[in-house]
Amino acid sequence: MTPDTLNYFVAGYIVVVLGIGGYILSLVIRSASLKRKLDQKSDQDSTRE
Amino acid sequence: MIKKAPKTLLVMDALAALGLISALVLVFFFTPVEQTMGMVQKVFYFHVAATWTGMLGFLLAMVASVAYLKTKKLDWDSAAVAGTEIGMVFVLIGIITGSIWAKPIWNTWWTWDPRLTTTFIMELIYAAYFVLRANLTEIRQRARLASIYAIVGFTTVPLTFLSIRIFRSIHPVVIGDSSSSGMFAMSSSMLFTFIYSLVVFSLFFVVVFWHRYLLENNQRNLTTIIMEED
Repeated sequence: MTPDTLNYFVAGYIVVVLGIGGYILSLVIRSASLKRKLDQKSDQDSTRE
Repeated sequence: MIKKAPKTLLVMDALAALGLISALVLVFFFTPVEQTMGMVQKVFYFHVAATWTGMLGFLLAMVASVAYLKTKKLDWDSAAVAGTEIGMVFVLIGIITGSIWAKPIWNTWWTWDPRLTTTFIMELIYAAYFVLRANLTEIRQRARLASIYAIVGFTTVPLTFLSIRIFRSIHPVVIGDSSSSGMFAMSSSMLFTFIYSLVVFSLFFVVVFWHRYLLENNQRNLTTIIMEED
């Protein structure tokens, strides 16, 4: 008889989705933070000029 | 000095997203349920693909590190950072999904089997890569030492890959030996989904690597500009 391992299957794919999604989210957050710093920098540069 | 993501990359983003969703659909609805393991066998498709992607990241980091030592161009250092970081994330996904698979099949979450042990050591060695980088502030010195470390650290990757062939291991040999212990006979739909997942994850790796490379390069360039002004 085929064992019931559905819970483990679901847990495995939750890990995959959260892992990949979490990493993409971290890239988005870091990119947004960099963009903010660049904007601040260009603002500072234009104020000096 | 600050580079933006090209349109090609944005198209590849969409393709990779579609690829991942379609791979999930294949795993969930197209592949049959394996008789002796049940549904948990389906973890195998993304477990192998994630670990493959991780090792691809480490390979790229090693190649980029060699290129940095040869050319002294900091772009290669950024590529090494991107490859290592992605490698760590995907190998970690591989370790956790493998552990989840192991519980109902081996009756334990973790065992110090040669494959599991070498994978764990490999992950720790690459974690130390970031500890090393964090403790070096001078850009050139950091890039040089990190490159040497990434090249030496890469020796754990073929060791991990070959561990189930060299040592006695309970871990199934997926590539090359279908008669190994714990291996199951793959039907054509299983084999198709397995190869499809590998291809999709490889494409996803290229996309994520490109984004991470651009981010690292831009962060370094901004830091350099600020330091030069100060």
